[in-house]
Amino acid sequence: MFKLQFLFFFIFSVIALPAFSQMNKIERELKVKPHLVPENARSFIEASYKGKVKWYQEYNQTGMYFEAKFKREGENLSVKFDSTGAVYDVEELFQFSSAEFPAKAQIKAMLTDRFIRYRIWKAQRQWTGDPGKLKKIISGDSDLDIKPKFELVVRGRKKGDVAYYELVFSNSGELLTEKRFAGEHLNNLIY
Amino acid sequence: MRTTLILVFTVFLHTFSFAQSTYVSGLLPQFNFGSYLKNDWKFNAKLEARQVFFQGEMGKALNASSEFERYDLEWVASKNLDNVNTLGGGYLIRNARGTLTHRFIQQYTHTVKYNSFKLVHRIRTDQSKASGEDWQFRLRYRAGFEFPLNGQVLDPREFYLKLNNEYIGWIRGNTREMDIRALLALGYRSNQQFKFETGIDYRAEEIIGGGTEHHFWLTVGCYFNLN
Repeated sequence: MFKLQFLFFFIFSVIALPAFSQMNKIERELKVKPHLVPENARSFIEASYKGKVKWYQEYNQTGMYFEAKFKREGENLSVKFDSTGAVYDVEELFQFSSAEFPAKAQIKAMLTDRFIRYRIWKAQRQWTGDPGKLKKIISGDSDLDIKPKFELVVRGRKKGDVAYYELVFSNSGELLTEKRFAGEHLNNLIY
Repeated sequence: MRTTLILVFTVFLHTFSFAQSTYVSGLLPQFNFGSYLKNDWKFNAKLEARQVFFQGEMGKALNASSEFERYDLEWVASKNLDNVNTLGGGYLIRNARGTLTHRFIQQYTHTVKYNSFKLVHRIRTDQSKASGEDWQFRLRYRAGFEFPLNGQVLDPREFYLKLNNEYIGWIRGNTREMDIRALLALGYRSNQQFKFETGIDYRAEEIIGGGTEHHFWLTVGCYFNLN
């Protein structure tokens, strides 16, 4: 009898909790062998980078993509391809706090306006456009014809809610998209 | 990471060398429910039980001894101090063979997200009182690692490995002792809310004064987060 009371109290304490959630950005990433990647995607990378490359398959709300990840002179780069192997974008990780670029002040102002408090977890430059020019960016040639967008992963607090967000800004600092992350709970590591 | 593993292995060798040590082995199921609340608060409730299948002296023939030993109910509320640090407090009640234990818990956690794994440091203090026994005061440190087995991020419908290592110093009356725990588990994240784990939990209890008790538990954990 005492055990049952314990159990009922436990279940009640859980059910009585308020539970509200809004999940927008859901991704799934799997490591894949290079031979499973479309030939044109592999040759695109081989033509512009000679080092070690890790390949991933990414599923998100818009479909399936292939992604090549590698380090070029200490910089982390990733190149995304659509399911047919056509290049989609090139991304490069950078330190937001130490980087200097014209749109930085406007992005910071936008974040301050949007969140009560925030911290930038990850910042990437993102190039899209002509494949030939993207190849130049991968091989390290600076190409001023293509201006990067800025993709930030931010942990931000809004009124009554704290969550991770992915925000994409134009080169001039205008907010293009905002997605709230479906985060991973770590109860299994804490309790 | 490598240093931690060497340290754990060395301590295990040391504890096994004690004479007259005993062992307990069985099943350790856990159901864990969590929820994010407003203003950076989180709530967690845990139901854990221990079913013993074997116990006896180390080095002697395996002794089957089936017994439902105990079950615990634990509630912890914690607040995010910032992106990586939380501070919390809670209460646990244990029913072990009809004897109730009350425990008050205080904890601090620090989470580090590396490119391909996550690490949570947890420091806990707790104060326990069972009827007819002195208060027990414990100081615990645990490092918990989670390694995705597919890609760099643990996504839904993917497996992961979990490694925990915990050191517990405690005082009860005139006794000053130390316990060490290590867990290796295989986990599966089925969706945004649910994780399932199973693995081996090794515990060496009272390693300072001799007569160490070795615990080998088959763990089964279900972790459900409401949001």
